[in-house]
Amino acid sequence: MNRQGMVMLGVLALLLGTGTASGQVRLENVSITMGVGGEMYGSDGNFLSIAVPQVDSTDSALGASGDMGAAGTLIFMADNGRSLITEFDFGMRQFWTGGFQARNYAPRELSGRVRANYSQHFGGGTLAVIPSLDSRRIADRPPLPLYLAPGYSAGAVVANYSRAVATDLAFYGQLTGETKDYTADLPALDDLDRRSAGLEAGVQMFFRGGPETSDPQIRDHSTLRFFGTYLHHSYPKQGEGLLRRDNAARIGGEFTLDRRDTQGFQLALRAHGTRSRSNSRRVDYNAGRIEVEGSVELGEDTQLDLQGLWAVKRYINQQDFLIPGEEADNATIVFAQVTRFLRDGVRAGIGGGWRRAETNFSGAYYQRFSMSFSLTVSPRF
Amino acid sequence: MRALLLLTAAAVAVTLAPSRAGAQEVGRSPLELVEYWDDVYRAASLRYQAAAAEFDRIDGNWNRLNDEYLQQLESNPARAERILGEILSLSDERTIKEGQVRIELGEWQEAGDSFIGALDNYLEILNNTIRVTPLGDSLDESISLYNFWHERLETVENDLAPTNLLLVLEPMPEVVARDDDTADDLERKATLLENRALRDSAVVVELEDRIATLRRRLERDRSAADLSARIRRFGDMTIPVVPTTEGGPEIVGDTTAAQTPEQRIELMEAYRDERIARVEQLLARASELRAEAARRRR
Repeated sequence: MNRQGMVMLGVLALLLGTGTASGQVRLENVSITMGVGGEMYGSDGNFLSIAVPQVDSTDSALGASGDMGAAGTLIFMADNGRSLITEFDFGMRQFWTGGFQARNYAPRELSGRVRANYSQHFGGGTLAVIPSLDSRRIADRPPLPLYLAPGYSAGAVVANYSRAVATDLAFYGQLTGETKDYTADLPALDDLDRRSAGLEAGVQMFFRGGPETSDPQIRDHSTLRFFGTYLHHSYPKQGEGLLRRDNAARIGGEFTLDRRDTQGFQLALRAHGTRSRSNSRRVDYNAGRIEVEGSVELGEDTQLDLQGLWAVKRYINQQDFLIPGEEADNATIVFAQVTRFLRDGVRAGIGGGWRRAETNFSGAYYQRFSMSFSLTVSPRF
Repeated sequence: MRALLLLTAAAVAVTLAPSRAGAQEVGRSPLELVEYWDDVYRAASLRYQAAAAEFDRIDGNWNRLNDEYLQQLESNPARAERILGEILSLSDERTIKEGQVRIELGEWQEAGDSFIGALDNYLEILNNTIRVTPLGDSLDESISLYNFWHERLETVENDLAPTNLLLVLEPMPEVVARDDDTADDLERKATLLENRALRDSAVVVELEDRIATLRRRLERDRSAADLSARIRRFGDMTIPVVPTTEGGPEIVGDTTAAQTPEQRIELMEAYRDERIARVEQLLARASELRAEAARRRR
């Protein structure tokens, strides 16, 4: 286990230990998920990624996977005006593949994430400080057309201050710092290492519907948010002498619609555009991204959940190869899952996904279809 | 981009459109509507307060009689007998008044919700007016109006906030079988306990309904979170087309709420379980009294 993983487990153990001593820690929202699935991979055979270790000439392959994961929230403190919570999420996924020319691969992914959130009322608003650690490991990483992201360790700290200026209007400001180090099983992966800093400001409006249930805390509502962000990325392993530094401006918005109380659905739509300029002119680009999330209640015991993403990027200057760290130029991803609520705290899901990523300069692409069945248990403590 | 803006604007318009336009909204300006609902709200509030005061008066008498009954039980059985009759008579009236309080509370809350809706709408209009009004008397007047109605909104929201169930159990009535009780006396005492059990059962049913609603909502929230967690856990949504920074909060606003949904459910479940135990105790005691009454009749 690497140093960051040890730190992550140590922090969790320390927090659990502290909680036991004080007797005030609550463990909530625990979900343990096990899933199995089948997948199909395809590409035009010409998609080369600097971050993938091998090359295989096949245009299509098959795979099966089994995964398990656990997530939950530890609440250390939640009294009037202050709260300290920690979310954790750990998972493992094992693949079995067939159809590759060189050999069949059996990649195994391990992931872990711990995120704390300390919030406090301050100056008429709420100040939140959110440190997080994120780690991913992958063994026997396969070549395309099965693209699995490389392993990395990341740490981030976010400071967010929000304040309501009317009952339905709030402003916020946010500072972000992040460091991401990719595992060095390939020299090229070192090029992806990144340090990022961001400054964001935004406004959010809140619209509330009338209550339809006997519980005054459950009612339809919707929000509308607009934000502007400045981002600075530096790549300490890219460039000789003059290191690559990108500065980006981003504007975007988010609309959420919660109509579960009256019509049984909710929707979130996020969109943003980015203008990125670098001291290395060849990586100047403009990009856009739209994300959709939704849930529809299908009767008393069933629910459909959806997630989708569409991202597009256009370089200012002609590109003849992929930029390190950006394995594709455009991407479309869709996931859907139908969940059946079997009993209190037990859910079964059948879902599918489609991912496609492509380059602009050659038209090369890879895509991945997946179907899976999962069982999730949420025990109560 | 234009299509996206139009879609967003349409969605916002749908959201903001009043979902239940009533006859009282026809032909009234937003301010008149606010004033109308303010009157309705004040009247409903007064009715609720009057009903609550009446219930408190009867409840006070009822409790006093219960205490007196227990005091007289040993020293003056005849007096205790008369008091028990009064208690039984008052029990029915108390149940009726309690029902009236619930009805008035419901109407008060409903009027409050409509009033808040009208206030939200009017304050938004005022807000927009203030943004475009140049400096001058007109602007001062708008700001003054905004502050007045905003303060009223906060007051109403505060008034309505503590309408959650008061999670405190009433004291258990001390009703026992005495040696000189007749079978009819015991039957009356059993009826007293069964009436109390009936009232407690009604609260249990209400609690069950609220717990079920909260738990269903929690399960559905978790279903959406399951999908997000599985996708994020293994980086399936992450194609690094554009570097993204992560770790920020997902919402803007107060994240320091004292109770999580699970805590609220647990609190209500604990209260429900206490109520159920109380109902079982009351019915068991009533059953014992009826058995004793039957024995004495023989």
